[in-house]
Amino acid sequence: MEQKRFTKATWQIMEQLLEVDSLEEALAGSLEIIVNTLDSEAGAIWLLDRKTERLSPVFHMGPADISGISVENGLGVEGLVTKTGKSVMVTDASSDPRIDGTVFDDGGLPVKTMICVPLNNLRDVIGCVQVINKKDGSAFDEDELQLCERMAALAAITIEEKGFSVDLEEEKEILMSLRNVTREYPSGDGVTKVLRGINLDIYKNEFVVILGESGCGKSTMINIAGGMDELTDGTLTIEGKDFSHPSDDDLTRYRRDYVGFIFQAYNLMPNLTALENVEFIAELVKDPMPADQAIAAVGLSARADNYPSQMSGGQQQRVSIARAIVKRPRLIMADEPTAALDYATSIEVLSVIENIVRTQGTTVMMVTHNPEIAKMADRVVKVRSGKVASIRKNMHPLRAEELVW
Amino acid sequence: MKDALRNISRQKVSYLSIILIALLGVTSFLGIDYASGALKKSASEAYEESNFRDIELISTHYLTMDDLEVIRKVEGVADAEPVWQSLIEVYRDGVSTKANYISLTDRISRPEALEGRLPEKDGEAAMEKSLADQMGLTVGDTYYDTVGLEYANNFFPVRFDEESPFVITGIISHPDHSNANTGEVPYLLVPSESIDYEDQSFDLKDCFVRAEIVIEKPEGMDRFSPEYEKAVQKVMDSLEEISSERIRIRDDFIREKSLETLADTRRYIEEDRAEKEERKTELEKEAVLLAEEEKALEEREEALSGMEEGSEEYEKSLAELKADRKDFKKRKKSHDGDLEYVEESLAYYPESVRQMDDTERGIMEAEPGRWIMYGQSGNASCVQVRTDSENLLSLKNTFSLMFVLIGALVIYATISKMVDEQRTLIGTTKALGFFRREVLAKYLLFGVSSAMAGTILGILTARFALEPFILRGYDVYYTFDTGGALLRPGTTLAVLLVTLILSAGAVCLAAARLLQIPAVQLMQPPVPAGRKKSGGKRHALSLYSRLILLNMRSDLKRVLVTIVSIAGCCALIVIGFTLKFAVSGAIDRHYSQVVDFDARFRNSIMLEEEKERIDRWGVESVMLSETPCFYYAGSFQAASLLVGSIEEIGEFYHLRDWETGEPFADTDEGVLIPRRMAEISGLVPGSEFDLTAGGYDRKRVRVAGVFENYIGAPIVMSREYYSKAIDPELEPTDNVMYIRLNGKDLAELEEYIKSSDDIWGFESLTSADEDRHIFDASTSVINAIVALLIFMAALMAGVVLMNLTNIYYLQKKRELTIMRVNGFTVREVIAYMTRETVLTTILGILLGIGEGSAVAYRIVRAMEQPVIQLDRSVSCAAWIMGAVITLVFTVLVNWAVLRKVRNLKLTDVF
Repeated sequence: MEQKRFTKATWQIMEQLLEVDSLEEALAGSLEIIVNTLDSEAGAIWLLDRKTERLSPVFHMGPADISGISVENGLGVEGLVTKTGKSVMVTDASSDPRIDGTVFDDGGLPVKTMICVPLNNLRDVIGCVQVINKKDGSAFDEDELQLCERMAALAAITIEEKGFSVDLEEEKEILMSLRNVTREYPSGDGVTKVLRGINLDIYKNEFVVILGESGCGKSTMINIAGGMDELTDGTLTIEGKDFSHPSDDDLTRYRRDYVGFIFQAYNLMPNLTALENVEFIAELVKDPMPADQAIAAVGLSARADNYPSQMSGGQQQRVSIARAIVKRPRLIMADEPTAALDYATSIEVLSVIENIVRTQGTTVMMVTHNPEIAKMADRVVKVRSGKVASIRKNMHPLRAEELVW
Repeated sequence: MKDALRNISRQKVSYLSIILIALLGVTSFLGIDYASGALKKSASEAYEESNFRDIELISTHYLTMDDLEVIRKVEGVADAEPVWQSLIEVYRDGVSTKANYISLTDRISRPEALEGRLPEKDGEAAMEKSLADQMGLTVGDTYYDTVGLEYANNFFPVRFDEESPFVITGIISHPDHSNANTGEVPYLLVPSESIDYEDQSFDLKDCFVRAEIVIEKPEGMDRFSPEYEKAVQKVMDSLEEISSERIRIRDDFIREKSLETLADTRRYIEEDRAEKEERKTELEKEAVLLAEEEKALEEREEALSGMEEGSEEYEKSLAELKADRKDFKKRKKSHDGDLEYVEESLAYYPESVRQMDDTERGIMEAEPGRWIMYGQSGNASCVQVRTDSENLLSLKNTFSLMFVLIGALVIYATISKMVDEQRTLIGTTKALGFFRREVLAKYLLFGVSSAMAGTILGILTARFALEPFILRGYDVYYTFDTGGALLRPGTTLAVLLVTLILSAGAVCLAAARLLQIPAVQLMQPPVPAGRKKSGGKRHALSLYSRLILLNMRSDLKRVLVTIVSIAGCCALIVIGFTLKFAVSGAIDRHYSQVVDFDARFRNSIMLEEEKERIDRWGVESVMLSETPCFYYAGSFQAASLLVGSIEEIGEFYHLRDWETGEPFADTDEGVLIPRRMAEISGLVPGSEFDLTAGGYDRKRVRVAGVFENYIGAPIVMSREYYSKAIDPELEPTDNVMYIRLNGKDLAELEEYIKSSDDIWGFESLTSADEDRHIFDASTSVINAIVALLIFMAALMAGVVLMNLTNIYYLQKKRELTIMRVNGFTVREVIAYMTRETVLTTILGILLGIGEGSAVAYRIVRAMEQPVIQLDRSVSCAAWIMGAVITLVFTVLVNWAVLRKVRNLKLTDVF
């Protein structure tokens, strides 16, 4: 029975790797299959950057955010496996001398058991695949190790064939960090847990897309990140400062000076023209961008005197973006900004957002249902049942106009 | 249906507001309407029960039993009875008071025995409760044992004496005095058998003072209805028709009898003159004899000198001479006295003849008698019922109507705003294929059910709370039970119908417009009202501030409705306080700006010597004649006539030109009339009207000036003008003295006045502001109602403001959330909301003060009575109260509603 399941998983992995166009998606899908088949808490695919001799987790699943981490080749379990090309199976991390704390531990997931297998291509080791903690608390066995090795071999061959390379950027500065963040709401006699322990780092000048099913907690997560909601438990740090339980004034200041918002429903002031909507917010902050410049940045100078009701959805959303950027925010929260727009208009809006990230150094967190949009993100965070299910780093993000759906 | 109920649940603040506003409006309107009707109905039923007269007929030359028989036969007259009445003074243990003894009628205007029973035979009497209470008398007390009587005017005396003292058999309530606030002299009731009307002079014999007449009318007819007045007037017209003949008969009889008496007198005087002439002749003859006798006595005295003194003959002659001389002197003195008396009597004869001639001329030229008839207006209590009822109606038709109008406006605004707010939803439901009627039904259910629920609750509150409250207030002042509760079906149904039409109309108006718009357009937000582009120029105000103005501009309908609603509520409060201050201000102004004396001393005749004696005691005073009078200037009205030196009266009762404020000087060019009288009669300086006073026939008088006055209707004229216009020969008798006490005690003054032997006919010495208490009491109920209406107005202001602010908040909630999300602080968001509220509230208050003052002036004028001019001055205090209460409610309501900004759920913005 077990063998049959593993065989099936192997076929699924092969299917992913051979048939999916995007290598990133194929590798992420394979990791997901192996983590699910082994009923594990987390997993990661690490790739080695030959120039720097450092390993970084290009895909990882589970509650711990390790996406911003890189380790020196040879250090830690990941480094050891990549350096030696030999698999490691840890049955009790607490007593295993090879384990002296892992990146998962640092990311909020205590490691108890582990399988780490090398990604061997024909010439050398290009990284490793890690699977962490079986959910039932039992130890991994040899069969499971073999499955992982098969998956790693297939993945390595595919990477070899498709020419996947890792170009590790400079280590990014963390803008915001969520650790074990939970959010509960009273519901009847009990409580509803919407977030069940989010661990996520948001870096400066990155475009993060949050994907997830309805009700998975992604909006709650960005509400907390945007200072519109408070967490129940856990910690939130912003540029290193604890912001877990701020006062209302602190939250207001944060939203005023730090965050710009782009809403699905635009939420423009109906009695103000496009330009005035932007000016209205510009008057609020100390060093705003000139409102007409913000309007120009979204390509709406010609419609600056129009009221929201006199503009199309896309135009309104662009006003909404201009309103968000006029504050020169460090972070822009975009909640389904294209959900109500047609394809062409969506591409227009996404281009504007892309341009902001590229030219103004602003971090954008965007919630969307559309997985296609995730292709233009630097990182894609999948949320499931109130937890981060996976974080994928796009090695080669697409441009907005390249997206098709 | 479920959707409609969900809609109600979502908009429950507005729904409840509509219920409350409708409740307050309907309660104030119907409560007062019901009370007004119930007061008249109760009075009408009480009068019906006592078979109260419909017409009171008085003749200036008394009525005879023959007159009564003729009156009974007049078409429309159902019954008529004679009444004897006379003013008396009742005293007991040093306390005295005026009373009217009055004969008990058999069928008409029957009093009710509150204790004991009505008098049935000679020697029995009953008295009104107020008199019994005042004198501390009770059933069983007897005259001569405990009570004394003095006649103030001694017509038709009651037959009782020390041997047959009357016994008080009952304490009564008389329908003549069904209101305790009219200040009328109470009754002492005796059986008609006790009145001595037979053993009288020809002008009083078999006569009576007035006839009480009941007309033929349907049973239970409303005595305050126009139909009743018409029926009474018809009978009065018939009586008027027979009056000239009856008056002629009476006048001929009096003339004939008077001439007979005069002829007797002439005959007596003539006989007396003849006797005197004869006597004079005799006395003249006697004078001759007496002269001769005197001469003889002188001769005897001369003869005596020839005799020897001391001789027996001498002594004897001397003694005889002395005796004769003494006798002579005695007779001479008697004769001279008689002669002087006779000569004087004869010398006065031409004067007596002249007087007889004058009397005869007087009889021949005497003013013919006159019948004076009064309907309900002749009875102060009936007038008071009508006045109270009309005051209530005035309140209802003005103040309460404002409630209703403002309530209707706010209900309309709420419904129309609620429908407007659901523009997108209406678009969606239309797009989903709902019929217009289905969409409309949902809003009709909201608007009509809330307004009707409020109206029905209002009807119940009016009937079971406000109406009993008002009637309980009046109950204290009326002898009949005012609690004859009434739910007027006509008005009630009209109110229900108006509510139905108004609420359904508001929904249809608001929804119909939207339902005409295509669904897709409804689902788009409306385009704000256009405005000129700024052309890039910089504005003095920040966009944040300008946005408030832009919001107001783009949502002008809501802003205008808000301003008008706030104005309406503020106006209601201003009206309430203006009315309250108008009533209290009238009293205050009258007793501070017009009346400048402390006491009013009434005496039958006021003498200059007595005034000097009183003044010497340390007070200041002015004497004048003050008598009741009637004037005819378009209508028949009662007033009082003040005759004296205008300048002197003016020092104690300020007579100042109402326009210039200048005091009037003595004038023989006409009378001075109060401003209220001038207004209701359309009189101006120079115009003329008829006046009757002191038994004189109508006299034409001219208006010389109009003075400011608040209470009463005094017509003032100088003595010169009196002799010119009323009676050139007879000066009016001063009977009143206005006294400034200068710190002296009133009771001590009374003691001082009564200590004089020269004082007679003392009637009363009362504090000047005694009538102030009567006025205070009569206005206390209306004051209480106004106070309640002010409270209701304030409550309505609270509900209206709560509703409007809530609507405003709900409308702006998303906008506020966006602001909060974008970093506006709670304070900034509240300030954003509050600025518009402050602006609309200030504009509303300003408009409300203007509107309230204008309407209040009309209400004040409508509530004025012929003898009461309310304080019409602009009441800054009312403005302040209106503004402050509205502001307080605005602050409270905004505090309550805008607290929600703190708890805005920012995540709702997604």
